[in-house]
Amino acid sequence: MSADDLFVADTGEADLPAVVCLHSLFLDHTMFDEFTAAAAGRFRMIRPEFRGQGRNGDASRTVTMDDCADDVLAMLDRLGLDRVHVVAQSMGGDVAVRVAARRPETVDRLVFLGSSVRAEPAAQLEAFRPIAEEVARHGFVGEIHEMVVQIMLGESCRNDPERAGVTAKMRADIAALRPGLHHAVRGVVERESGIDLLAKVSATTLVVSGGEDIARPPEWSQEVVDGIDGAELWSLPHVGHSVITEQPDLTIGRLMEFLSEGQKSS
Amino acid sequence: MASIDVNGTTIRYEDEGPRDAHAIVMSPSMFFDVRMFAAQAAALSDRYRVVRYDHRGQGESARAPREQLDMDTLSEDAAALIEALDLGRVTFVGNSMGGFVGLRLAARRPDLIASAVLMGTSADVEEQVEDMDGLVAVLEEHGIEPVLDGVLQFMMGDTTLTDPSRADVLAEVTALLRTRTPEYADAAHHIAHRLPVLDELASITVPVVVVAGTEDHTYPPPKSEQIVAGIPGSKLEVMERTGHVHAMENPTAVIDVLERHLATLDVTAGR
Repeated sequence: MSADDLFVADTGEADLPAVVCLHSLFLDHTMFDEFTAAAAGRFRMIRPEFRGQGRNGDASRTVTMDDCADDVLAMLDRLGLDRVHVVAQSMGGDVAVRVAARRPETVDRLVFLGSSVRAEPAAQLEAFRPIAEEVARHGFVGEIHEMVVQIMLGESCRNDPERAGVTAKMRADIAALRPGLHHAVRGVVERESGIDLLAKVSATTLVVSGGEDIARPPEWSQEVVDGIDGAELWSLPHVGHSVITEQPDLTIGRLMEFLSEGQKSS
Repeated sequence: MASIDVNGTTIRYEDEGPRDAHAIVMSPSMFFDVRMFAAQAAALSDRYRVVRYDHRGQGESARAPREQLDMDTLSEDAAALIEALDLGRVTFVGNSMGGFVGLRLAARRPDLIASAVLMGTSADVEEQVEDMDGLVAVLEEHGIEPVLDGVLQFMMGDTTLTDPSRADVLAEVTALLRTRTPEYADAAHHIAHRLPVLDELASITVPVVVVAGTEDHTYPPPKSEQIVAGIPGSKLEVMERTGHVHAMENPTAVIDVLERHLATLDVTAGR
């Protein structure tokens, strides 16, 4: 599959500032549905899906973060966009830092949600590597299914009766994933560090960090803040990894505000 | 710049210095924000973790209705910030309103407070309540401009108001006050109508230094002496040529007080 064939949902308004939304591993462009609805009439929302995930079908080899960054850059070229905002959740951030470092003049405002740029530390690498193998063999069942749900949603969300629907949807979405996703999973688990790229990022950056995020803990978010000149940190102590899924109203409100500040200054 | 959601609000803060070092939390006066302690943070953050924040309803922290801006709520915000940032037991530095918060935390949350340095503050009821109510009413109705001179006279020491070598401080404070919109009346209301904490002073067991500016027209030295008389083992520092805005009017003297105080504590500085 060439970069040109990769799925992208694009609201298409040529006269609005464009926001490229980069999704989480295990999820797809629909994780930004509410955000897209809230942004109607104010931003052109461009939501690609990564190679080897979602509507693109399975990859045949490990999909690296650089592969995904190449695909995003090719998409920007195809759409003729030379100035965009980027909102990235989790692995979307690993891709975003590569995009923003390679084309600093293109990325205006950048948001990391539940994300980081470092490689998986050795101890966690050993713990996570078997996930890709298990997924390849059995898909998302049993312990693997439970583990992924616990990674994706913070404790507060999972234990909140009022958000039982959010947790139930996540459980169902993870259960519906294909064993063929293992190439994409391996690409995230074995990703290379992007720390050296931070200094090349010139975008106005907001880093949103959940205190209950076990996949990308607050120290890793802090590292991103420290590495990008002028980056702003927003901490949510009782939120887990999937910031925009767990706290949509709060997060979308702040995102709209942050991205709109960009409009005033440009 | 950073912000964090705690205690039902969003608090803006700056977090500098080694993460594992003893933490100092700096809490500003009414109208001021993290910038108030810029000089002290610059001087101390090579060895200490220095966290400066804006009170709820002011600076770049979230706005809230007037009934949620009382001193107890502001104190709970600070406690929640210390907990959420996992700072351990901190040295709490408060100027005026920041001092109201510091007194409450020292009395109520010794689990979070290792010591406190409180400047230009009071444990008593507001004695100038009528003047303050008048000021709040004008601020709410007409903005800061009609009361700007009055606020400056209230806050700044005579030296700062007249000494050309302090002209830049006066200009900086004047510029900051000019950005303060009528909504600041909601926060200011609670200075006039705060409850006293005189009966809590005796229960404070952590080391406390109280700093009095000899030219402080808001809370003159007797208000500091009253606090020191109430807190067992606390210490008074009298600062000459200083009004109500110690950290900015006399930054080096405040750094000196902090350095001397921190040296008496059994804490580990970083690096």
